[in-house]
Amino acid sequence: MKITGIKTYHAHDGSRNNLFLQVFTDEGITGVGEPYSIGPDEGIISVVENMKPWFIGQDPGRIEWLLRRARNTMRFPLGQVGWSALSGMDLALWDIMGKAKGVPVYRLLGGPARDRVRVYHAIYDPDPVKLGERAQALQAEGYTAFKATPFPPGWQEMPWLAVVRESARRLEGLRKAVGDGPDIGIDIHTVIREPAKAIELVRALAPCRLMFVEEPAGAEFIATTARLRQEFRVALATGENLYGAARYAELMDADAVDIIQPDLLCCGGLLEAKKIAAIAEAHYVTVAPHNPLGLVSTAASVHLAASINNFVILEWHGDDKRKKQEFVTPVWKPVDGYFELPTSPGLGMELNLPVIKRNPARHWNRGFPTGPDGSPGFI
Amino acid sequence: MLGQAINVKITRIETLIADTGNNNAVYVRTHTDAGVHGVGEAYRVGPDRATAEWVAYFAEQLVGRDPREIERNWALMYQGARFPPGSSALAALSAIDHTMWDILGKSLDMPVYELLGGRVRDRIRAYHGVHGESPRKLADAAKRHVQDEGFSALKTSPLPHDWREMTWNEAVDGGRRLLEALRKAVGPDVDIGLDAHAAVWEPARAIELADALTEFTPFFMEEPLRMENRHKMGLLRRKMPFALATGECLYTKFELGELIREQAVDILQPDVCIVGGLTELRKVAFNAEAHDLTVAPHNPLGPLATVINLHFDAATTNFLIQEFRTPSEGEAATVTAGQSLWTATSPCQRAQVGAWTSWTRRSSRGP
Repeated sequence: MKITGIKTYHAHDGSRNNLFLQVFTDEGITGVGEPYSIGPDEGIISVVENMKPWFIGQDPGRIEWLLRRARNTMRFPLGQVGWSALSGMDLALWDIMGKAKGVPVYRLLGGPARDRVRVYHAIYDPDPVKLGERAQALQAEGYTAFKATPFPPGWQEMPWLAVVRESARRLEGLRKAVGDGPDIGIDIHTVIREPAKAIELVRALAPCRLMFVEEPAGAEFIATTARLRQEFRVALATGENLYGAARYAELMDADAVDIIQPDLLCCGGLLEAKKIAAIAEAHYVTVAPHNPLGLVSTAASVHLAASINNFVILEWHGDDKRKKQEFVTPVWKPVDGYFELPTSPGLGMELNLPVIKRNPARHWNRGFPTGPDGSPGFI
Repeated sequence: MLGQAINVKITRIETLIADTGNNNAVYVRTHTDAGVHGVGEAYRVGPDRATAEWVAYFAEQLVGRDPREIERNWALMYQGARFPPGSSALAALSAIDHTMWDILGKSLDMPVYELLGGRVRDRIRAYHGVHGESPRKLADAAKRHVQDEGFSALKTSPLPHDWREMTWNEAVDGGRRLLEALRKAVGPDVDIGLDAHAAVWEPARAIELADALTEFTPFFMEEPLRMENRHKMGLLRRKMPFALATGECLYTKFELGELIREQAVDILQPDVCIVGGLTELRKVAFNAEAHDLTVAPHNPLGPLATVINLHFDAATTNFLIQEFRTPSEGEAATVTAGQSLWTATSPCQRAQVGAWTSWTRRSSRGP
């Protein structure tokens, strides 16, 4: 079998853009992938365009060789553009191999190691009462784990002590709404950037019983993250902003993390995520894939979760009203807070091209967060 | 191709211990209700009947399970054993792991290396062990491997065979005479690894030995110390004048992970028949890759172990070189096919990818 072509698709889901790609073969099998939508997505599209001659004419089963060769020849350490392009390609190549052999991708990866895949539902609402109600509605659907931001709206403008107090109140409200049983993770999203404040905040929130504290420091600050982990008496989760197994190994060798959160759309893809998970296993670290983007990401994450021993829980944003659910077919939905394992060959998800084409990408950026004095903040 | 629709269940797992003439070969076969079976090789740990007992113990719990669920079955065995397994249990676990990869590959009509993300190389470089009691005998044996068989890399002992009866200085001088003759016989370009086989004990002596032999430009020094103390191995590595290779006696991603963390190794040498099988060897290699380290699998066993290694070697970016020993007639007789693996067919005694079909069936797409 030989790769004959690669196509990228860029679509707007009502809130932000989604990137997809397809890899075509001379046997009529088409693989589906999704790179991370980073902002300047046209950069990713152009890298895929550039890489075409390295892939076309080659055996799609030589995944390690194809991706390594591309990475090595690009020479300089890749950032989010290059890693997202490679990750999207990796997913499509595994999809092709699964389809060629008539099995779900997790079979090729030595799985399944579990029968279903537990998810936590991310919930966002500026209103603390509505946040609790949203969680209760999801509980009624069977979800037993949630993730929320602890910060009240407009927190950047508030005195820090008020932020801590209000965050604790929000979280107490959420805990009260769902009861003692469910798992609640909180996402600091690297916005604090002062370790002492992260410690203070987590100390204030800890009585609400946290499944994990996510990104209490910038992922690039490994020593700081390690220090926070030594201070915390709750699990520290991080890793969505890292690329490539070597960087994850640095984080884990520094004892900086309890739960690693690679994103399959930019960490390097399924094969790289398998490597990250193997290194994590040797460090007693569990894996909770980051998964805020399109549904191909969800599919790939389910296959990873099914094929590794140290998977713990998967992020899921199923509730939003974005069009992204219509970009693929079939739509997967968790049952009782778990995804069932797919049984169709490959990743088990196809692009709904008419819908994707009817919703072309729009100009999008993340915006510039600022502090009360006008200086740059973090998003 | 069985594909996804067919349910596959383990019906029986058996251990076959063969007397090959001067040692045991310990094979494991996993049978299924789908007509495919898988083969694996366990490390020859000494008390091999204990390995067979472990196979029977694991088999009791695996019968009825799907052998293609490798990651899950591995964890069931390892975590189910509760106490750290040790040599005989890990030899059994490793061999059962091989049988599951074999079954998965056969069920999908794929060579195992394709399941591992495909081949990253077209042929596998190997080194051959070389021995000789005198400098002349060593040189003659080396010439045979290099000139007649085409090897471009060899491995030998850094000390004379009777070094335990000598003073240390005599032993080092004897080692120098051997290495000098060997280097002269094969020329300046052949890679020569040295295997101290964990026999030296004292870190300072290992440094003296390495310093005394460094002018003969060794490829690596293997296991200069016992394997228990990873920290001491790390201290030694910082002083080594050339690469330090070790890891054959370490088990699982955990122990080899400690070695990496202590910065105690340049070239990792896990053994696929005792480290925890192909599943575990891959995990060790991933960790090594993330630390920019290479893997040269230990491989003193039979032809089946060699084939299993070749699948790993083909698919692993940070593979360096494969240990290889020409099987005895007795060993060769314990497997069918695969002869082409160790018959010199190319100038450098490297197995061709298309010849690896004794373990998994030939791919329908050819080599």
